[in-house]
Amino acid sequence: MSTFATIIELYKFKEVTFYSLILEGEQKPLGMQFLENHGKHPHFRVLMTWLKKIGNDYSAAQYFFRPEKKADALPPPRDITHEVCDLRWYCLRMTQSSVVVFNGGVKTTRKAQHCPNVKGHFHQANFLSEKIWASFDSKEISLDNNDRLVVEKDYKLNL
Amino acid sequence: MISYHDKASKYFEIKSSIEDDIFVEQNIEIVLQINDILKSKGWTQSDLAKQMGKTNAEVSKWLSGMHNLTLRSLAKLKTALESDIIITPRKAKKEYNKIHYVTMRVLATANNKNVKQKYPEGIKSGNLLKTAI
Repeated sequence: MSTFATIIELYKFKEVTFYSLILEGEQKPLGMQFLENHGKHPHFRVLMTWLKKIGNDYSAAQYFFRPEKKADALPPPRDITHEVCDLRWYCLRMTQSSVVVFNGGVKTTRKAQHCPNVKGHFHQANFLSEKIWASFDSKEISLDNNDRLVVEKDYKLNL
Repeated sequence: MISYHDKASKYFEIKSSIEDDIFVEQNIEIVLQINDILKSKGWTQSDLAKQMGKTNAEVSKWLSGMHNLTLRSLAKLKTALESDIIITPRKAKKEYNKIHYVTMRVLATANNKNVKQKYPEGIKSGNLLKTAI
């Protein structure tokens, strides 16, 4: 089990920066693993169209995110998208400009906890979200004037 | 901070169809507009339900997306909210591009040292101005 994680910048849009974590002992950030595993899923384009619009034009307002206990998920809820999307990308919306993405998958049941594909990612996202907020509370990581994450070089998030 | 921008860009920069882009943008605009109106009125979803003569569950279902917003449902929302939710460019021009002219008489004396400070540049004592509002 990983005992620390490195915070990386995954992609920066005009309004929102997406960050992710590389867990100790792993080669790729969790967000990159999601992109590589699900980039060919039929609903991937729907998810990314929303993400780009939020990232470039609208910022990460709370109502664009699905509440998932201590974490969040994308795409936005169906009352906003009006589209079917079985993909769930678990994340932590920290501010209007900073979102940390984790892993995700194709959700097959109403509750994430019951879905064999995503329950592990759901629990992991909740665990990691808690750790990120704890490091924020203890001022190990902070936000700049634009609400983007500030992380010291070589900083490791304790898990 | 390490950046994966280049590696992730092929996924984040995936091409969407123009139709998808427009669909997403219209949805976001409608949701934001309804939220703004509710906020400006200090209303909750339950207040909206009362105003529409529906139960909370019904309105919640309405706004849940299980029910795609039709022109009829938008008309019902507009009636309840007493405010435009979507507006065509043609109507927007008609409604909001009007210029109303009013006549103002500015009272000031030319010798008053404070005139420059008290009145905006260009307004002099006794001027009759046509101001667009």
